[in-house]
Amino acid sequence: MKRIGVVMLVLFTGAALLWSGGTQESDDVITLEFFQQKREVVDLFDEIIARFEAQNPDIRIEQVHIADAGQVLTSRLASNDVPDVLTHWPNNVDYIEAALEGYFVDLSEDPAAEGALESIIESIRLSNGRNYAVPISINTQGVFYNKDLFAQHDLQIPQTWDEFIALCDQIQAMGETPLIFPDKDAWTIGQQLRMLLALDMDGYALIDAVKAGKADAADSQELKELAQKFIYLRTYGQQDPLGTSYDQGIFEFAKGNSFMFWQGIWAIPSINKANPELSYSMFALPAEHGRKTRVEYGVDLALVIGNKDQRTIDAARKFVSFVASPEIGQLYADTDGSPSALKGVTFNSDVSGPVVAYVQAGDSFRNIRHKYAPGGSSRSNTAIQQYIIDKDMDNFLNEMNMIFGRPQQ
Amino acid sequence: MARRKTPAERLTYTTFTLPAVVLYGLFFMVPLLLGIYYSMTDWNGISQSYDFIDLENYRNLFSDNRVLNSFAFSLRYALYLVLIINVLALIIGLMLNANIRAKNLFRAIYFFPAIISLVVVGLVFDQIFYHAVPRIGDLFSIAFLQRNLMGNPEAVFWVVLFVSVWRECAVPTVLILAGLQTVPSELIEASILDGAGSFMQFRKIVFPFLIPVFSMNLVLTVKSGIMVFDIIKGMTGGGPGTATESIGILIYKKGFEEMRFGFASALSLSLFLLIAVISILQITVLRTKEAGQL
Repeated sequence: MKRIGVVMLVLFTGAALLWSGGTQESDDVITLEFFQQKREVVDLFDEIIARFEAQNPDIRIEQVHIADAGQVLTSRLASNDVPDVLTHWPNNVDYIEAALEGYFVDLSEDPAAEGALESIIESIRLSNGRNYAVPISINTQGVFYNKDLFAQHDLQIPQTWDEFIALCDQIQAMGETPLIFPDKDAWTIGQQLRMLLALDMDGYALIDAVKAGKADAADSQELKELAQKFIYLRTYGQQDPLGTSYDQGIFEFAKGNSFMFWQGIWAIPSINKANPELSYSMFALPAEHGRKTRVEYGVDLALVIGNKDQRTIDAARKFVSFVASPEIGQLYADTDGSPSALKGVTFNSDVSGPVVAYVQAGDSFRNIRHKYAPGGSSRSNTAIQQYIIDKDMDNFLNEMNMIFGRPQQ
Repeated sequence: MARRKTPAERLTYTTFTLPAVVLYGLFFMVPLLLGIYYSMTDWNGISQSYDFIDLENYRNLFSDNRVLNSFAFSLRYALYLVLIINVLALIIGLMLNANIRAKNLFRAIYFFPAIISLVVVGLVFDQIFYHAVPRIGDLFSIAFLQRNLMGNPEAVFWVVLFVSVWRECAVPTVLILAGLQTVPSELIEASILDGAGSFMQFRKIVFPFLIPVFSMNLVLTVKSGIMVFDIIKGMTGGGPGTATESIGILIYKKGFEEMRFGFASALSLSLFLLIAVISILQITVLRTKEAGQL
């Protein structure tokens, strides 16, 4: 028995020595955890990391991508375990809350953020006037249309709301389906609501007034008309919107079962996958009530540095500057197919080009979700879907008051 | 009478139970107590500071339509689930216990749904209700089948219930089958000699032997019915609107999507209380029943 004990002791000591030797050797190499939340760009970041590590042998980057990343990040932050560097969506309320809590490094005057366009940074500046993210790409939404079907029936792209409705009537008169609505997935309706809140009315002002306790959403005639517009538009939709999911909606449009499909540019890779032969493009949804047609944009992906020890932050800074360089930015834009938020990157897309042009020309507004009360985005998805089902206007307006953040009595 | 334990023995026993007590305390009791504490705060899940707001969350609980709606959904769902699964499991169990050809093949087929991943179940039924069912509706001109039943706020309850029954019937059936093996064949033979019909046989001999299995099945299905979460998350996500928002789904939405951890904790605790009350009632009633039967 004693002999076994001695052998074990020797083995453990040896292992311990080897272990400590290992860490001593890697003392000048630092390993960063890169908490990467966007599924679509995992492979792309593997390539970017390989290039970065080739230039910086003293820094190793470990990309971590998991399912339900947002929920995991929330619980990690709650136990004060912030990743070294991460991707995040600066318009998400959980990003804003975490940044204001001091979990992320303030990049307002940081050279690491110099690669990004000032106007884009301006749009994600927080209520305290500071910025904690380096935006990489932006997204926008509009109406996809089937080019072949439009050419076949000699249809024109609508410039005004009346033309849009006339176009829908015309398509319907031919016995075809003008639009497809994937209403089974509530977030697709919620995102239409957020866009119309700023396009068809001054939603920003209404939210500010409701927050200050000076207005009641239930008194807003414009908001009521907006809600009714959701019912009205669905008369131009397919037979069963509430039974159609996002994936099924993409499938139906890609197969040519509808002439148009109102969706964000993030749907492009999926549409291409569903039908690589499809010839399609986009136009901006015209505004109603004689308002100017503009498009919504939001920062899609951004890089954020965790607030940790100085050595980790310095290494993370190097990586962030590298990704935000024009060369890597171009690689990202070309692979991901989204417009870049970085300087010196050109963007060409036959599909989303016409809508992105509005953003580039400044005829655009920022996604309104950041004005909502915390958690309002998810709540508004359910509220507008429920309204489409039961058409209970009082309940909808009451929910909107909560979503806008009306002070509790 | 057992002899008194020596101090050394007592130490040994304590040492053996200690790991279990520590683990249970750390991973079950501490979170529960923390949950009670958080349910009285307005914590949003990530901030370092939050306010203590007494019973405010609990007061809001009962004025919130979605909360009341979710309790109604979960209770109604549990009721139907318990009734249908227990009756169905008994019927299938009796059938599979009969002397039929390819008995083992049928047993395997009926157990199959239980081993499919819930995500796959969700995806498969999503396609069935989108593509297949409306075709059947078209074929026979049945109006309400012509649209996706999962998008129909009235029908979606039955759709979710149907899929749950399809998936969750297997385990209770196996338990019933096991219970049927415990019926002594001598009793059956004796009853045949006494001239008992098959219904009389079932009522007087087989059923009493199945009562313990039934009470077990009842406890299991009531619990899984009231706590239902995963199958709804996989199929409808609580929609359309709030039509399939169970208590579990609402806790998840309030906590992780709307970032109201304090409120979600209060909701969890009321679910805990509900289940505790129902379980205590169930166990008390079933114990007296079992005692009366035997």
